[in-house]
Amino acid sequence: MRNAVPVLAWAALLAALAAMLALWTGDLVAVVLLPGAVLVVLVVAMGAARARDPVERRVPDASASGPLAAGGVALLALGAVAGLWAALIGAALLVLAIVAAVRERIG
Amino acid sequence: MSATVTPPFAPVRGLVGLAVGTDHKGVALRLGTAAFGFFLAGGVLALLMRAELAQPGMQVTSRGGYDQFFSMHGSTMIYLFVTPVALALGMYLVPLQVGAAEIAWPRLNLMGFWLLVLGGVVMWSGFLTRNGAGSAAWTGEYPQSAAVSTPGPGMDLWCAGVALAALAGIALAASQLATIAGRRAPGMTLLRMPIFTWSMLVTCLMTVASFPALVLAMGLLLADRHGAGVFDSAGGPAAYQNIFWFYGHPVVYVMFFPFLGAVLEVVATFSRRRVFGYRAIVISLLVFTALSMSVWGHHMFTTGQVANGYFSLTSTMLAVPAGLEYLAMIGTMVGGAIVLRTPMLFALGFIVQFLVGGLSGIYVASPPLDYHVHDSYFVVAHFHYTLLAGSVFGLFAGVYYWWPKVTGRLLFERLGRVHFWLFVVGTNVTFIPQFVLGYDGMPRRIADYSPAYGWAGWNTASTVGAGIVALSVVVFIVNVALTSIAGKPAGSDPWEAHTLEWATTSPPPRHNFTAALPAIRSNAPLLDLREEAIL
Repeated sequence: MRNAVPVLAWAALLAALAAMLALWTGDLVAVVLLPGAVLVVLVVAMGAARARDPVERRVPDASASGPLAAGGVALLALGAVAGLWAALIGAALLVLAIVAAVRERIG
Repeated sequence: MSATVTPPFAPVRGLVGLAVGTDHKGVALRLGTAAFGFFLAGGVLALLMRAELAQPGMQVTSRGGYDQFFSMHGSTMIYLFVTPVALALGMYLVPLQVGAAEIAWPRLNLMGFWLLVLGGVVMWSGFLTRNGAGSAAWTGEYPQSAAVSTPGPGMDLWCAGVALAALAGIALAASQLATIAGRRAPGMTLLRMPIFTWSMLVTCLMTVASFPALVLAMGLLLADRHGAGVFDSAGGPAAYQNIFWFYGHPVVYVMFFPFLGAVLEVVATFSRRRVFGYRAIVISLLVFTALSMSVWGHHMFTTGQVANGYFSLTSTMLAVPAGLEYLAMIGTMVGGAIVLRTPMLFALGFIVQFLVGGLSGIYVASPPLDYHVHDSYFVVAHFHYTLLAGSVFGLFAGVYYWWPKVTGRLLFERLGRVHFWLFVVGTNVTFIPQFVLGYDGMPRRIADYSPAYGWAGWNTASTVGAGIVALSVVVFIVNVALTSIAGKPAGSDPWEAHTLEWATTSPPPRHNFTAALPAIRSNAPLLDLREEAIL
């Protein structure tokens, strides 16, 4: 839980600033941005609170899943420019990345 | 070490190793090298722009070409150089500084590296398209970035490339946050973490909290360009600006705090003192970063669409934690036995030069003054003093300081000093004239100006300065090349430093530490050891 203290303190500061801005202006877009960030930071705080160092874990020296996932995401983004075919290949690469990650974890 | 680690695979070397190796040190080096390559590319664009502006008239490119140059220069420097190189520094050092054998979530970390590289390739591939690369500034200013104003795939590629770079930042920051939260060595409590690691903690918090807004902005902009009409209403441009600047201002600090942390480590080591006011710095980092998440509206003062009072107040309040951090840097030096090696010179350069950027920032935080200089060269000078003339000094302080740890060799001191002084002269000769030009009314983002305005002399001076900056970078590259051939071996701790990364070999082994870590009783465990030995 101690891990989460600075993250929670930071979220509280953001929440206070968000409240101040909401009192100052009625602009919807401006007002929802900071609370959105507070939500993200609270998720980080939950993760930090649960973080622990396992006694033993498997750390791969090499992983194909990372580059495959990056290629998949890049092609998905390029789908907007190049067309559906790029997005479909990107989706296929993402599936391969997940398979590779699972295989790496099983060993 | 914090855990027993059992690698299931044999190390992969060669080109395949470069592609799929997960060791955080190797990934950080690849990311840093890629970012430096983008820095050189963005620097060439800057030199072309300065050549164009040196005299009135069009000499180098067309007006459309100039739009692409300044847009891609800014985009490259911010999305592909300073932000990733800051995260690369953290990726290399945070696990070492907290005594971890490995970074957490190494696959996500590797994915972040590849997303950044692919984002850069996608962004720059716009130059190969019919209408050229993105040309609506690094901000994708709407409606300039709308399909009707900037048609063609180049702008689409820019949007996709920026979104990929933002996703990369989120992935890299998440794995560093997870490392800090879950991989610290026994005894390494939060308040014993080195100040650089604290600076990375707050940087990564800002990254995961603000970069999603950039992904959202780019997604919506792409949709708008393909007919969804997201921003084409009366309030659309202001909505785009709000979402973009919600990322766009925090990223200034993402590009600052890692180098502030690096400079504090350098100042403490080369002053032979502990960091002054450690707890106050930690609190000021948390307050500063929270405040910096709520100042984005000061980029929109002149639109009349934001609460100027609120954003002016929060922007001005930044001066308080910033002042505390300056006090800490100076307080660390006071009474210390200062050693003026190259890292310390760059650290001192950072302290002085960033101050110019910071003080001119207080100036533009005031709406009446900002109305006068908005979108002028004054603003260009201000943010270049924070980024190039400020943060990059901090980056070089860190590079000269940690180079022996990373490579096992010391960079040449004399060439380092030449690099430093050329960089000091070059940055000031480039950007001081731009303050004058901006105050005199020269707008930013123009390819030409009338000789009647009398701006040619200051512009020529600024162009000469840019040439000197380029020369200083050449000296650095020569230093790196010569060091790799004939550099002096560094040993594990050539500077008598304070933090755990200096307790292992140079360069560190695959899992960072082979011997038991020293007892961790403060944020400077190696200094504790030396002091105990004296007593």
